[in-house]
Amino acid sequence: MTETQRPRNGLLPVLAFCGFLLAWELAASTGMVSATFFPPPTRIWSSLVDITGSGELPAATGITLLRFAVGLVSGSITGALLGLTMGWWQPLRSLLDPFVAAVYPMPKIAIFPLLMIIFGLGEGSKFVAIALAAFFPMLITSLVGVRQINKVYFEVGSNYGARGVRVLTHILLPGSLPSIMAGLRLSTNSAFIITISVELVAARSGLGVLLWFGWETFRVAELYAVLVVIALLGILFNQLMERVTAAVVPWMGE
Amino acid sequence: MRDKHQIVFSCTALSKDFVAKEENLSALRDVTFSILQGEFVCVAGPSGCGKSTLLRVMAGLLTRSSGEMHFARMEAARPQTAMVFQSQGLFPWMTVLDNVAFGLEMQGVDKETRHDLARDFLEKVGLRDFVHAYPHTLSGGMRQRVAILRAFLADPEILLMDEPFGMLDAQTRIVMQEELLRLWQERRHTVVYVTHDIEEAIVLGDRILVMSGRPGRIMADIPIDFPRPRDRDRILAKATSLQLRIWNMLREEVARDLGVAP
Repeated sequence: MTETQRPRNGLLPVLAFCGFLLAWELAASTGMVSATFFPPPTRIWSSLVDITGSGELPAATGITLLRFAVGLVSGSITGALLGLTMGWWQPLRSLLDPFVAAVYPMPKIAIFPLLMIIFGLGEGSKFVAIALAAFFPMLITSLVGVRQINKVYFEVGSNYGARGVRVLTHILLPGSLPSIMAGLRLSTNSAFIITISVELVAARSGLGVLLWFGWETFRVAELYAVLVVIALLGILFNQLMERVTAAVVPWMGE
Repeated sequence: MRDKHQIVFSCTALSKDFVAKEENLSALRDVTFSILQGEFVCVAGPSGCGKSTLLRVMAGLLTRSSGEMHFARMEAARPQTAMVFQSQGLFPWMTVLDNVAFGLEMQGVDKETRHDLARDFLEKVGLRDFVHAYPHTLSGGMRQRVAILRAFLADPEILLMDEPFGMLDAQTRIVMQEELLRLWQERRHTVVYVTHDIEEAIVLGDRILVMSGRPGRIMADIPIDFPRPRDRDRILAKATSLQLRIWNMLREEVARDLGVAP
């Protein structure tokens, strides 16, 4: 896309979104739609300001991000290491394939009650659940990443004298990096979903708890305000991943 | 040191069989030849005749099933072989500069030295503007030029080329052949060049080994005596009978592979 085309293309969605908010505002304040279920955007905004000022929202966002980050980092790193090893080393792949096949398709939230029995009701079970959610997409994509490296690259390496560690650093790792980055994106999304989910089910703090609290006390505007924050975080993560990917694998083009 | 008539490679009764699903597939049978220092040897044959297999055995990427193979090492510091692959031989994750310097890096040359050498080489052939480009931004022809530079810069005792221009269009191929000859003229590396293009083999080679269809045997060893530096147009004007002679040898092989009655 050229520079001159960008603003023209970017403006229309923004206008459409503003129009949507304006229509919502009018419809809710004139009673065309129920303001109880669909409070007008201005009221959601002031609720957002309220819970931000009271410190509730920043504290909840902080703890949610912490759980998410710890789970994502530990889960995706172990997933990548195991996936690369399984991709490279056939015996390990044969050994672990049935386990992966059994656990991978299972919604991770389904294992959460079991995790609470094993790791207790504190942070431990939550970290493990989030880490598992990040672990599997990363495991699968990095395994596939190694397997799909064109055989000719290993031949070139071997012919030009690459041995041992150099095969790893010059061919195996960079060759699977695009897949690993795609995996990181999947892991980020799946870890974020599970973070909010475990907070809804069993936490005393965090954005999920704030959501649940909004439902229990029927503070609908607050519920919307928290949803806005969650949506913004989701968008932020995706943007961030796009940037990181472009920086880490500059050879991928568009 | 560099005696013109010294044998740098020889093989005797070299065979290669592949075993797949309990079926024995013979790719090379009783291949015997030797190569002199500084010779440009073309291996011509129908597709699937085991030409690539021969190169891969020479490069150490495949083990031979039987027979003998011997490299006379002239200088221990130089790598035995460096190969140019048919396509996709460049690492997409390395810039042109790092790709060209790859052989030197594997030989333990420090970063500054190998980058200087690679940059000089790229500038000399007019690729200055592409030093920091990634391969996916280059055309197929340019990628093969870079792959050839990488092989030359590794400075092996024998350069192995596996149909390096096979995927290029006819016009690009001609220009690439001329550039290859220019590069080769300077250092006179020993080259083994695999192709199915008779014309290409005549223009480039000092000798043509004509291979049969699978399993590959050597049917003829034809010297090409045109003076160097080679002038493509003049050679092709004079080489019609030679071209025909080789084609007549290959025609039967191709027909047999295709199941066409002679």
